[in-house]
Amino acid sequence: MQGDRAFPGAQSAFEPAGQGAEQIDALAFVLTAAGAAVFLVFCIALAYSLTHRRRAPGPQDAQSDRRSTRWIVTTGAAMPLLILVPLLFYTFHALSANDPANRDRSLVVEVRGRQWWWEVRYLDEDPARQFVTANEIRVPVGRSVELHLYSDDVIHSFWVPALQGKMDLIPGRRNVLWLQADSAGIYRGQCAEYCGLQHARMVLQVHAEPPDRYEQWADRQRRAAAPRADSAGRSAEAAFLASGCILCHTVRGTPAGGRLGPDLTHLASRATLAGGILPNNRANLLGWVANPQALKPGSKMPSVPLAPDTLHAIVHYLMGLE
Amino acid sequence: MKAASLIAAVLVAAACEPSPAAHPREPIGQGTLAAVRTSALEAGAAPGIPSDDGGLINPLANDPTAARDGEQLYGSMNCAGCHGARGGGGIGPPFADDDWIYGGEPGQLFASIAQGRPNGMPSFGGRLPSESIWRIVSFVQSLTPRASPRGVTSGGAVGGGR
Repeated sequence: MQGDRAFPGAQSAFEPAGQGAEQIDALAFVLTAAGAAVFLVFCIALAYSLTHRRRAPGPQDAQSDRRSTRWIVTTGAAMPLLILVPLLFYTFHALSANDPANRDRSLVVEVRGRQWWWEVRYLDEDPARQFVTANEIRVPVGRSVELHLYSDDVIHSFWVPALQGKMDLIPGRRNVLWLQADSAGIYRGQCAEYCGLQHARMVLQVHAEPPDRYEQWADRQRRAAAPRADSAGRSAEAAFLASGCILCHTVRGTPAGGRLGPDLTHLASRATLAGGILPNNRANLLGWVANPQALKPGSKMPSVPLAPDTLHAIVHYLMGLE
Repeated sequence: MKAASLIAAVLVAAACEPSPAAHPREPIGQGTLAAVRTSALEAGAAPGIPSDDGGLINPLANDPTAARDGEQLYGSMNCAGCHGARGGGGIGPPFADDDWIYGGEPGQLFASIAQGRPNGMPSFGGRLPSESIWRIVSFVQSLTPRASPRGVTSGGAVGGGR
């Protein structure tokens, strides 16, 4: 669909931008190189055996055959042990480095997989400093972030290839994954476990920013939506609060307190819409609110017929939720 | 021996990895895809488009030639390709009715054309000057079954001018 290709965001496991992905990339390279080397030796041996001319068998060949057999059995047992056992230990070492228990656990983010979007909740010891957003995780560069992964419906899988390996989100279970971005940028991720009709459009972005910009963003996210000052804004807010949107969506600071859809309190501050699949601009938001089923058929957001003026008023309000 | 060296060469070549220079690694979304020239006509892509549509007035509302010029633009920009020759619809919604998703007021039509809409309506704000878009708006309004479209004498410039 037209929105998919225009996205920023590195999404390659071969372009690691964080420690977790770097370890995985190194492990993958070592295993591939070792496999290629073994394959090369095998090919040479095969080529030799295909072309080596043999003279007619004679009486002294029985002893040389026994020697050859002993040689083949001994080498065939020793070579795999010498190659595979060190690789096994190296693999265990690389995977154990991904244990979240060894990491800084001061910044914890809860991610809930919902069909077909990501609910993101930043935890804090002080409940007043917790906030909720969707489909976008912002992290400070160079700091380890611990993700607690939950699912409310079916199994999803969290995968941001440039930063870390995959971890499933399993209903009824908490999984833990850590992320650390070592350079600023936008890293794209998507759901990596088939979860239904719109699994292919369940996208998220991780924005890695300098720590002071991250703190500014987090402070803004903690604030509730401000009431509108101008008359156009007030009528837009009234149109929104009179609509069915509030049955599923929350806007902190207003009576809208629905829990089924994403929190919209700072919708205009996000880069994407609709589970990460559309750039966030007025045109896409108009189309999404007017008919979500046309853009993401089967999604849980119903297509509600709206009069054009009501549609424009609601979207005007949503565009002001910075 | 010739067969042997050929087999060995093929197997070794298959096992080798290509040099990094042959396949420069680029993150998705930059580099490789950007090298493919794709249209930047997605909804909201054009710069300089109106951020809102409230209260925009058609400056060509009283210009009788606006709808005729708009008809020419409607053809040259191939609006008919999706919306039909006389706004009868097709891939895109028709104009020859009173059912509007994003509104049928002139300002709303202007915004829909300039900003684009998801699911296929390109953003013409960066491609056409505003005046041209207003001419198309005048023409589109002349296609609607309203009693007297603003700015166009009914049955005059549009029907008789061809």
